Amino acid sequence: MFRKTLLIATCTLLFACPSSEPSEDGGPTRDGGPGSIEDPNRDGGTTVTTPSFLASEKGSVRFKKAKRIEADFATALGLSEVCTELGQYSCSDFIHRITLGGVEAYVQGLNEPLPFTSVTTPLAVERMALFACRERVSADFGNPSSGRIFLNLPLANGALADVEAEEVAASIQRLYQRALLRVPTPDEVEHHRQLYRDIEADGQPNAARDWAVLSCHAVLTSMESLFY
Amino acid sequence: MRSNRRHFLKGMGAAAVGGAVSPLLTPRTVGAQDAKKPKFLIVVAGAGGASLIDSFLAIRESEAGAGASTLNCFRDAEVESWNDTPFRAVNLSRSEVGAIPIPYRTNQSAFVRKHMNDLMVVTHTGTSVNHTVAQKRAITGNEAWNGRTLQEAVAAEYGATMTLPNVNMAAGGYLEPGIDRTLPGFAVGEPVARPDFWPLSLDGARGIKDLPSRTRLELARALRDEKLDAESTFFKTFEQSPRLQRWIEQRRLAKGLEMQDLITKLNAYPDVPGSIPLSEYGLAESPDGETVRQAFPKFTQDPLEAQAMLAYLLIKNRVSCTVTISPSFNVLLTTSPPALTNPPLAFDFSHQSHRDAQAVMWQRILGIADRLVDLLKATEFEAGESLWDRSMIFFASDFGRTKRRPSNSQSFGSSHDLNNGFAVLSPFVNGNNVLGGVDPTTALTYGFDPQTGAPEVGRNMQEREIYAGLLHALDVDTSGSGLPDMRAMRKNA
Repeated sequence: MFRKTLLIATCTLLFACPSSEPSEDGGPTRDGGPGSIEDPNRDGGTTVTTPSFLASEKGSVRFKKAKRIEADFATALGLSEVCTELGQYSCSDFIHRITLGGVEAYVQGLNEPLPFTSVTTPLAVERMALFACRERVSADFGNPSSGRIFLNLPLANGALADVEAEEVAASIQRLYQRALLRVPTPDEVEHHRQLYRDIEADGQPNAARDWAVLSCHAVLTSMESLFY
Repeated sequence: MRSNRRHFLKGMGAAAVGGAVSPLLTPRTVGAQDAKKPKFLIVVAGAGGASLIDSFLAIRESEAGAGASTLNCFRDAEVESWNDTPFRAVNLSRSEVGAIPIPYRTNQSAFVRKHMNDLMVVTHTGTSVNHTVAQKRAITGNEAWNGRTLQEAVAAEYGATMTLPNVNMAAGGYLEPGIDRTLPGFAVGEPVARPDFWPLSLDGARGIKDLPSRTRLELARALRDEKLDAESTFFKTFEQSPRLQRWIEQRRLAKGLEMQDLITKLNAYPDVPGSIPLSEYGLAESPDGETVRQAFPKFTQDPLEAQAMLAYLLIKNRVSCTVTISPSFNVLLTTSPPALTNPPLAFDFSHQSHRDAQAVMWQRILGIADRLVDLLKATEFEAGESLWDRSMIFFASDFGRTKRRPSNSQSFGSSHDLNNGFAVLSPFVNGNNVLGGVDPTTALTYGFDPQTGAPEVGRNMQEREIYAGLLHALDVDTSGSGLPDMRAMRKNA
């Protein structure tokens, strides 16, 4: 009986307090915090358009570390092996293991992971992503109709015949859905299309393949991909 | 130590960002035009407790008086001394290392004779016999300067224009960063666990076959950094995360590593088709590869040799002004021919067999230091000055070892003891001197006058005093720190 009363009282207090949580649709809040709707006169009487998220005050995120990164890259790209240096040394288990936040008790005597990412961590991550993306793109371009991500692209002499083609957007969408578990925004799709235009502008061969590898690399090494 | 404008500006910069912001994020406030001509600090960790009465302060049984049979002192013939140096050397030859049936032979005499003019021993009594705590106190002087480590202080003084001024390959307390929140971000230690293969993480793309050109890769990086990340809901939500801010700074610094081609300059491996196929992957060995491999031929099997090799390359290429290396606690032996390179627990194998562990480990770290000095002496800094002319090797130690032994035993175990000292090797220190001394009847060290260096029986040197003396010998500006002036530790001071 007491527990029930306490629960009701707590709920009442919670509903009575001003909330800084986003609305049910993830929209703006009413407490003046980041992402809030506030002061309709501030912009000449026009309601300010605000982003539909609540900035975290604590900003508490963690780096994924070696094994999780490897597993996520493998899952996203449908690969059984993500990365080997010099054709034989595992990136996550051996070469970059400590740099990526792993431990190695038996040889190095390192029983605890490093307390923070190091200057070389971004480079080690990029290497893993480039290895993995190269493999995925090679497989997809080798079999365009049954690939995992880059399917049925309008290719002509190593270039995209039409960067505005629906297949390009669909490939980007598959990449985001597999790597970040969400659909890309229209702006993000356009950014990737622009990347292709910039790549093609240098006049060098293999623009389409390089674009696919680098689009994949950019998404896999984004902060959204590497931190949680 | 005098205060100056640069120090004031550094302090102001630190104060502006102090408090909630990670040290790594603080800006480099010293421009290239202001950078001091660097001095270099190499910390060689005596992991497990390197006991000075088992090396430079060894005691003969004939000197130990009535208690000699139960004091950690040596048969007279095992200790060598000379008239022109206060140092002693222990030379042992045994058939086993405790319970490990592998013979060994050590010779500290050669090291003393070769390096005595740059060698200084200072006595010291620590404040912890816990390995990790004591290790950290050995490099922070027990938080003598806001918790800043020796390496961080040197990096802050000389490393503003270097890519990775402070590289740390040790473990435990020797690897832990300091806690000084006013430390410039660039001076924070960069941990390295696998020195031989670490250069492969100094470029984001080199050595990977069939990749887009560097120009195209930079387009993708720009897309990611300036558009995808910057505009993402994830980043906007967690923008205040110190981890994300650090990541952004690290991405920026990483480009500097690539521009210096360190994946080549620091790579000691030769091209070995099959096992290390560098050329097949568009890579190459360091121009200094052959030189360092000659000095450290076992670097593929011995992590400490690999660390020393990288330490030299980092300093030689002006990537770092301080590097920390350390033997690990893992056993390293070969059976054919039988040789024990590193006993389990390193110096701490003294728990099982004090005399053997100390002998093998002192031989190990002195041998590494000797080869490092040779390399640094053979490399010009500028204008005829060698790198060694601007360097210091500090043999850090967790603590000493207990001073007793079972009656007349030559094979016994020891525990941890606060009382010990440090060995320092450098042209900057008061070389060929033992500051303080050791009581031959107790094996306990005593201190010295900080100004004159005169021995003072009954005085114990504090951690902060040794810390200060090392930094001042390296000409690090410690204005405002309150650290004592340890003139006796400096050469010609």
